[in-house]
Amino acid sequence: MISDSKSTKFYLTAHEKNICPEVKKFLIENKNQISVIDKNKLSENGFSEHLRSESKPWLMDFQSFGHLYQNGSAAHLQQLPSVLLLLNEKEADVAAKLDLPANVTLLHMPVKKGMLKLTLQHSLKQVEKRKRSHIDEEFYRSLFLNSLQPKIVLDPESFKIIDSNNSAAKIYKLKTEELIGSSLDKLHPDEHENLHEEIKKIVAKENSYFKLNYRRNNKILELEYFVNQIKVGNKQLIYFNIHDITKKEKADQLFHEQHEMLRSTLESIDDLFFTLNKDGDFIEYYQPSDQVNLALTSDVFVGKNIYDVGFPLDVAKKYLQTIERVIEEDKSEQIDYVLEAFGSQLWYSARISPRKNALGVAEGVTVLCRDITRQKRTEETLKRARDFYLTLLSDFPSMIWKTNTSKRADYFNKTWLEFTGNDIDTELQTDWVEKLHMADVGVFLSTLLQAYSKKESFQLEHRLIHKSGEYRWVINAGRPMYNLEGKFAGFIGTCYDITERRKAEETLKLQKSAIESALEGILIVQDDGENYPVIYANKEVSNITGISEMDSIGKNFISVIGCPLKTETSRNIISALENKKSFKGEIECSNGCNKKSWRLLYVAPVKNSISSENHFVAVLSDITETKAVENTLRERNKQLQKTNEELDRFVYSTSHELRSPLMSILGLVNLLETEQNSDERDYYLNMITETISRLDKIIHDIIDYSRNSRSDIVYENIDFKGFIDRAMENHAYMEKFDKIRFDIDVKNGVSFLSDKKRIEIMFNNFISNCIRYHNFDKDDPWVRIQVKTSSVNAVITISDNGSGIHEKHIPKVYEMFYRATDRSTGSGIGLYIVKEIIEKLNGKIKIQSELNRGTTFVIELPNFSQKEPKLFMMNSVDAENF
Amino acid sequence: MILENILLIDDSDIDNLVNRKVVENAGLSKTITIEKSAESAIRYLHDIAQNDTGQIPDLIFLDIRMPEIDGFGFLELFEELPEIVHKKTKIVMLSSSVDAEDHKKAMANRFVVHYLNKPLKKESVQKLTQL
Repeated sequence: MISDSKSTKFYLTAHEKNICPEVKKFLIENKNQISVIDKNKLSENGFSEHLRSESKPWLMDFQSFGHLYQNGSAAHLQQLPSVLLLLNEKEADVAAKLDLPANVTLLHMPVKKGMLKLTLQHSLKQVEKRKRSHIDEEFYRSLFLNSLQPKIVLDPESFKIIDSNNSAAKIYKLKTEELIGSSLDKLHPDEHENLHEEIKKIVAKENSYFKLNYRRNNKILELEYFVNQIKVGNKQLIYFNIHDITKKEKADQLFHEQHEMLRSTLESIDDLFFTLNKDGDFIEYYQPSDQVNLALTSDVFVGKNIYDVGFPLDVAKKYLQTIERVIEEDKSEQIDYVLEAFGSQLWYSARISPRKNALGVAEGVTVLCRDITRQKRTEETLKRARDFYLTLLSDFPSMIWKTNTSKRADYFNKTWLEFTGNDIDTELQTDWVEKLHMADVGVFLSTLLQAYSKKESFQLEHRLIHKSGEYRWVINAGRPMYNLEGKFAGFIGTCYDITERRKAEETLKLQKSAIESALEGILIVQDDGENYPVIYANKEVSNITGISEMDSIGKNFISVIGCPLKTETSRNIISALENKKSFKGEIECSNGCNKKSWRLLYVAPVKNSISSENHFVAVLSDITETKAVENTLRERNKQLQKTNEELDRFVYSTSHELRSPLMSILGLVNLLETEQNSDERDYYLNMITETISRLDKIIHDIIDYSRNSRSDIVYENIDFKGFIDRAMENHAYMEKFDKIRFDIDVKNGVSFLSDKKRIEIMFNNFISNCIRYHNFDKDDPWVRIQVKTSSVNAVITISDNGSGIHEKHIPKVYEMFYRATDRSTGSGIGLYIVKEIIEKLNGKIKIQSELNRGTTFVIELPNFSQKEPKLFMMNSVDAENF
Repeated sequence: MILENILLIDDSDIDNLVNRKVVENAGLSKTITIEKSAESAIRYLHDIAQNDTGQIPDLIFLDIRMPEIDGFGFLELFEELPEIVHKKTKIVMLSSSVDAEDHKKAMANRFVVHYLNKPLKKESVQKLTQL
């Protein structure tokens, strides 16, 4: 029934007849799915390769099976995909005692159709499985053969290599066919015993690894044998993985080092490193060992989405958006964010870069996440510090400016803006030239230019426009400024308003120069209670004292002002100083060469609210001249007083002298009224006439006197002879004139210049006196007048043998209205006038007289023709002034 | 009342003449003596005080302004005279001076009883008799 044309031929076993028709029918219907073992065939070929590769389940009777089994082809049997074994009852008993492979399914006859079907289906499944396993086996076989890992299979009993791949063959430098079947110990002839020992251990499962050297030509390879024991059928085999570690050792070491380096690098950086996929799921997570959040280990993150790891929603969202963008644009990005952790804020900066697979497609991102909290805090602190210092600068109570490297102002503080009244923008746009006073611009710009070129500090006073529109003086100090990198960044400076100070300075300067140029000596004295040193002396002080300003400073005040020590004045000054009182007084100084000078001194304590030291201010002036003038004035005053007294006396005398004859006349007139006798009346009238002429004479004399004292001197040539003659003519009417013998002797050789009128008066008076006071009792009353002129002078001698003047009267003869005797009928003015005239003409008069013997006057008058007019003029003026 | 003796002291002859005439006309005194200087007047008074006390004048008319010794000088010298002269003689100043000082100074003297200005008048002399 089972046909076989090549492989489809059916073989029926001896039990064929035992197979029920339904089974037969089933088998025929399913002949594509089942193979039937032909006993004969088996006997002929055993299990050929052909059979073994049969992919259908085998149906065989027990005899066929036994045949196979007894031939010891159990291993082959095992290789069959599935065996369906038909058994009768007897055979079933025998089979039960056999150790049958798992792919054998027992079918007890009679076989029911349903059972057969089930079994067949099961077998088909097994076959299918087997088929697949066969493919696998080939796959794995190919893996084994082609593996780059050298592999051999060893029979530990025979020490024969029973299988090997190409890589193994390469190690031993043999062909695979050569290697298979060769003995392992023969490959390692030097390690025979060692090898056997190792294999023993392996069989005893004491070891799974050993190392052997393999000598190949001149090279020794170091081989590592990793061992697995495998069981094929009943046979125990050893499966080796061989590693040629001759090179690998080094590679290992290198790898190890690189690994270590990477590890330590990862550990050493503070950054978190993690990878995320497109959806934000954590793939990997590395964390530096010293990271703050140690609790957040990789377990917490890996496999979770970024939304589920406790990030704030906005941070997670930001991450996802950035990831999307990074992947799309294939460009790294950085995001900063804050996390609240452990009660404080932690700042992170994450660098997100695309993560690509082997094909270069971005599948996700790598994130290098850095904790920048410290940096942020530093930044924050810096910003606060910066703000603080900016505020400090801005609110600083003096004016601050700053210029950049191109000399342009780029900062002004609040104080500055308050000064100028501008807002910052206007201020920055206003050029220096507009801010400064026109007269200061040049100096300022050149100073700034120089400061910039030398990078040096500068200081300068100039005027700056104030918001009021007036210019105010400021002191402007600038210094170069360097940025944090030490690079020149321009200038920074301050301005102080010094207008008030400057005004005060100017006032002070003015005061100082006023004091300096004062026409009085001004000194400032320190009140040290002992030496009273001079601490300031103006120029005039040295003019007065002759002590230079330098020499005055520090010297004792009393000695500087030149007050003689131990005088009352010096004691008074010292006492004033000691009692802090003021002093005013005159000091008489002698400066060495007996030259006396007078100084006026005022000293007053200085009320001082600034210094704790006390001072005096002294005003010193030279009053020597004033004093001299004062003396002169005093003298003149005295003179004037004298003159006044004289005038008084003159008025008194004159009034009396004038009144006296008038009263006499009145008396006579009274007598006349009652006198009847004509002789008596005539007598009275005569007397009246006489008295009147006397009165007239007095008046004339007064006029002469007045003329002499008031009128200017007129110089003319004097003809003495003519004067004397005229004077005598004038007096010829006088009683007893002709009784006198006149002896005139004039030697008028040179021209003589003097005042004509005055000399005329002089001679008139003399001649009148000579006649009036002559002694006519004498036999020969005479008068002798001698005149001798020279270029220098004229000497006039007038003598008589008259009554003379008593000795006691001589000093008084020139006094006004002095009459020495009751005999005289003169006015008492004559000689007074004579003396005045002679004095006026710079002459001299001498008198010599003896009572009853006579009188001689000697008069000396200078000849003005010989005088220097100038000299004379001076004399004249002097004389006038007196 | 008519006085026994009157002394006129004046350096001016005219004034002496005028004064004598007025005194005579007034009939003031029986005798009139004239001295032309203070010095001679003192000498005269001294003489009569010694020799003829009856001649001691009852009244002296004394001029102030005179050469050498003036009226005031006379008054000083008058002090030196004997007591008897002082008791009897009264002095009337007779001067042309209208100076108040002279008047005051003269009136301060204990012997001066009156001060008259020249020229001497009859009425003035008659008034004197009532003293």
